Amino acid sequence: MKRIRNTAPLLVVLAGLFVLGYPMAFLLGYPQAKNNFEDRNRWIQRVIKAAPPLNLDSTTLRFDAAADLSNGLLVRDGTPLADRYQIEPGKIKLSQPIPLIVPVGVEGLVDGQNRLFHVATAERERPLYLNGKLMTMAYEVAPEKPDGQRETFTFTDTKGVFVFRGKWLQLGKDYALDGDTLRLYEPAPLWLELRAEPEWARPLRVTGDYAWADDKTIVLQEPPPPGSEIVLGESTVTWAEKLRGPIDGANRTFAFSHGDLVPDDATRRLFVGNRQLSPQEYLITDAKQGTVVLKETPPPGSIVWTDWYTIYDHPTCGTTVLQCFFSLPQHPMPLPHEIIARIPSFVMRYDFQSERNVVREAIYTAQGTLVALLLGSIVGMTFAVLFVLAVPLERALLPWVIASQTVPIIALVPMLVLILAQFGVQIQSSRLPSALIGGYLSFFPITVGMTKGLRSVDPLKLDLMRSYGATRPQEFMKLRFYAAMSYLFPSLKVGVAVSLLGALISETETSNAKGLGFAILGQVQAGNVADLWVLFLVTAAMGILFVSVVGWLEKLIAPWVRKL
Amino acid sequence: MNTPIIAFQEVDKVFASRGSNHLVALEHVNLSIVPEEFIAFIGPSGCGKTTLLRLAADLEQPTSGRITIKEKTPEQARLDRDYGYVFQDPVLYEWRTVEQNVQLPLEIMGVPKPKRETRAHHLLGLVGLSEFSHHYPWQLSGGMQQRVSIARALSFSPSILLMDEPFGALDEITREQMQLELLRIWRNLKTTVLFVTHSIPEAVFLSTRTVVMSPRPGRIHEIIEIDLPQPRTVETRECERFFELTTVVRESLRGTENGH
Ligand SMILES: Nc1ncnc2c1ncn2[C@@H]1O[C@H](COP(=O)(O)OP(=O)(O)OP(=O)(O)O)[C@@H](O)[C@H]1O
Ligand SMILES: [Mg+2]
Repeated sequence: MKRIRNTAPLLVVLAGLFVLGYPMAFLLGYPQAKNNFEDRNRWIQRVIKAAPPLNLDSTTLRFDAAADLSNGLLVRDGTPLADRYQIEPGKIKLSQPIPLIVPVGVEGLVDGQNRLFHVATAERERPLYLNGKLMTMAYEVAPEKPDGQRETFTFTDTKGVFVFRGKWLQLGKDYALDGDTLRLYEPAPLWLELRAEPEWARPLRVTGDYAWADDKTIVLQEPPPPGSEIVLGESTVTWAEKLRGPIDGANRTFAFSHGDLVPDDATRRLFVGNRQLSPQEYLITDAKQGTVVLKETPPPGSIVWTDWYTIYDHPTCGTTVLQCFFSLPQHPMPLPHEIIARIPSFVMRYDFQSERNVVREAIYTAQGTLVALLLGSIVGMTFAVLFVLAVPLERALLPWVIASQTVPIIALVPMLVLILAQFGVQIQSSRLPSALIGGYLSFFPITVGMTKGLRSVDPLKLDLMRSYGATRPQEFMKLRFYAAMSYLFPSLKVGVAVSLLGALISETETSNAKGLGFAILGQVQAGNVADLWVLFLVTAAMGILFVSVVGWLEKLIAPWVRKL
Repeated sequence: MNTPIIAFQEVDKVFASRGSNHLVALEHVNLSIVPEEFIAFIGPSGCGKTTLLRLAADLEQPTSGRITIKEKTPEQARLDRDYGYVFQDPVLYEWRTVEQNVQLPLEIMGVPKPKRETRAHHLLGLVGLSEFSHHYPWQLSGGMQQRVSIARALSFSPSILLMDEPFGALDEITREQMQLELLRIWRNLKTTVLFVTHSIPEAVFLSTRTVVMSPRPGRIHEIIEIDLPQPRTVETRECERFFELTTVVRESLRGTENGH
């Protein structure tokens, strides 16, 4: 019961810190999240393009329900078909049959087994029709980049056909599945060409009816049944988009139906009638609203239209700054649960045999700290006794003792290592730097505390000693020393904390290559923020442990201190 | 009368404080105490009783005048371990058990351990704290602590016992027991006792002479010879002379106030 009462406040504070960690982490990560949210280079771009018909009937064309047939126009070969059609719900009736498709030759066996088809030139943007029906192109790209060694790639799902570099991958022969990970039997080769890496340099999963496996290879989700006809449209009719704005012989300002245009969109196509405008003939005045001003006023009766342009759709990181914050690959301050989740793997990373094992690093640091504290205590107590015995000595030395603490420790460590090396001390395996630096830091609070303690004796207790005619050593041993305990232990607590600090700092001197200090340095250099925080937790826990051990020793050695 | 064991000659004690308000704690103190006397000091609070004892024990230096203890300076007497001092407060060492506290002066004087232990055991029996010998001071009541402090002062059988209101924190019954016990020790050890008290009956019952002091500045107002027969017993408190003497002391104490 008592134990619970003692640990409860600690747990409450811990829980509080855990909860407060989130707003804290958010505050620190906000600028980066905001930047990711606002930086247009990090946005997903969406291509708005003319919708191809869903079937290849030469007089009736069906379109996707999503295509808005009320405000658009039918285009063939970049030429509006004007009034040679009638719009009916969901479909368009042509007034006379026209050749809709000039098919491009697609090579490949149609035997009910084959899924791979080849074309002579890259034709990615053309629609593909199977037996007169439009097929959808959709695929997922693995997020991992092949590096010549990588074998595993992750996908959101394992359904569908996997493709890699023009090849249709076969389960059991080319790859195996572990959950959502694709594991290739042979490492994926690196993309070596200098020009931009195409999507198909990574493994793909076909999610629609088909996908391009490379520039000239089509992979179908299902093998087409024997006798099927596969055509890639060379010249096709599409349902293009009219720009909004009156055509009155005066107006030159028009608007795209989707705003937020990508300004330097090289693929954008804008037409007046059947003439495509060059980029010099129009000006995007408001990319956000999608407003464009033409150089020349379109004559009455003409049509201003587009079949191809790109807009900014949404930020890659999410649709709110908060989402962008959570999707940061690494938070400046990791989220509390990330840190906690990190602990097991962090501890298990190296087994106990390895010197890099965090427990062994901690033990190494703890040993350095304790030696440092011992050293600091001996020096500190000696100074204190000398100061109390001889006040002139205190006057002479105290300023130097204080000055010693203002020396930048960071500068002291390499100097010390250099000096020790001269004496042939093997720094690699020596706790000497830790002990010296930690001792250097800890002797100060112990000197101050012990001096104060030795002086702050109840005057009546001193009178009692005098009345017995006690000698000075007796007075020290039987009275002052004990009276100093109530000051010694608090300063030992400070001392042990700075000893730990000193040990950690001295371990960052890389020639030592051991201890938590070195581990921290390693994570700093690797930019591993989460692991760094785990190390902070470990050192904090060590500090708390050491300080409570001192408190426990105080209870054991000087129980009366708490009764005063 | 034989030569005095303690002699105050024209002793003044002025406490210099910051600024010019010096505080005259004692003025023109003349007092001779012969061996085996039991002197009680009584007087209003702040009249310099404690200061007087501290001067005798060399814990304070007189501003002027001379103090002689056993024909030595107080300092020499202190180094010769002539004093057993019981302070107004118990002043026990918290890190020592009751028994170890009683042994403290003996330790300092280099008495061997077995002897120290039998001595401490005996004295704790005397003050009725045998069962508490292994307790720590904070585990005792105020009165019990004061008894430990008395046992400690007696442990090395000092030739001069300085006691500053030692029984102040005790209940009436324990107090009377302790008074009888103190008288017995005094007779057996043949010590000289300087005993500060606020209680008139206590002063009369215990002392051979009672020194009545007056405040601001602290002076000896009157020294009253207590001619009650020795040894004093429980009956002493009931005899006629006891009441007469308490009345004398009381009246003298009143006089200290009217004197101004
Ligand atoms: N160290 C000191 N510094 C300054 N003044 C002191 C000091 N010690 C005592 N005094 C003053 O000397 C006077 C006598 O003090 P003292 O303690 O001797 O009185 P007391 O008779 O023992 O009083 P009480 O009965 O309350 O114990 C007091 O006015 C006190 O303020
Ligand atoms: Mg007093």
